[in-house]
Amino acid sequence: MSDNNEKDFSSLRQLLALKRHEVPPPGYFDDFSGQVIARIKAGEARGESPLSERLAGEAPWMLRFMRFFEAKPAMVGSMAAALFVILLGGIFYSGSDSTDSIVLSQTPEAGTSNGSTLATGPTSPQLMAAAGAANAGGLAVTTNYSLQPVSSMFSSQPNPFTQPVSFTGGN
Amino acid sequence: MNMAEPAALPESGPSAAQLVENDLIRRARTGDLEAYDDLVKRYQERIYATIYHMTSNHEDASDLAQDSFIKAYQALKSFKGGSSFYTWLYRIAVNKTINFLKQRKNRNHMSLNDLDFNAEHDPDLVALVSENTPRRAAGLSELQEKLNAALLKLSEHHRLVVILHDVQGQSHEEIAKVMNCNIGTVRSRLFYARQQLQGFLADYLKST
Repeated sequence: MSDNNEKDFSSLRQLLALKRHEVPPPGYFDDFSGQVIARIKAGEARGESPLSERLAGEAPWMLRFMRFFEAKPAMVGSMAAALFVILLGGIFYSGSDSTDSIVLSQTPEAGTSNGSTLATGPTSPQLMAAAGAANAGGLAVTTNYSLQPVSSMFSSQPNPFTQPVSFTGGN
Repeated sequence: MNMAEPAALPESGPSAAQLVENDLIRRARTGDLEAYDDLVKRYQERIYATIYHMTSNHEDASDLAQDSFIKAYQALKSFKGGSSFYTWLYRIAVNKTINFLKQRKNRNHMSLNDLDFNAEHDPDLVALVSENTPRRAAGLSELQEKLNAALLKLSEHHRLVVILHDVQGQSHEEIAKVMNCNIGTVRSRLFYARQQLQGFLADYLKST
């Protein structure tokens, strides 16, 4: 069968022999190895190695993963779309959790304490923006402790920031 | 394997040329660029030719051949000697070329080399052009263009098998090593690729 195949394709093989006569410009190979060596030296001088080389040595699994996507634009597109959906889902769920916490915190007690704090605390633009966002039902995050509810001034624990006052007069 | 150890040798024992090559490899591994220069000179024409026949583009072949030798130098320490240096180098060049062609799919631009003087006197080609070709007006340049265009229609793996076997004269076993597949796969790919080429080039082949 192999011989028959060779006979069947003998004419084609004659034609393919033409490829052997295709040659690069004269003198092309005279400096070929010199160019290769020069590029190697230049790369060594920069102290660089291609990303693929570094990955092959340090994280071959990453290189295989990247090669899996080579020349597969549809696969890359679907992967990116999937990641985007996951990201959107994450944002949506985190947003709904924050809304719940805001609703729960809007008890009369919490409202009072917030109001009192805003009334007595500093009125910086950051605080006003945070308060505005909270009132609009949006998500406001701050680390400013002046927005936290203050402890009662009438608690049994002594307040370290207050001085006892005596009204007992002299005479 | 120790870096200083030479590559694995055939069971029949190393020839003088193999010993010299093993010494060059050992020196190149230690950073001796003169030794690597000699290795490049040994294989530059075959590597370039394979890539050129795969791409049908001189500029691309030139870049890819240089890149292959540079990559081989950088990866020389990972060369275990499980195959010959020639096969190992071929694998690097072939993988690089196939990746390049896949990325550039359907955007093939031919930049063909000139035919050498001997082409006009090759008896097979003379007969093909002047006597047996239905289109007798076809000259060698037209044949060259049609042949390259037909080769570019093949898949990369089928093209590679035809190039390595029918153009470069490698055996099925050698091709199987380069392509990292079994000999049966090489044979079936070669048969299929030839069939396809025969269909593409029917007008330029003998009718018998």
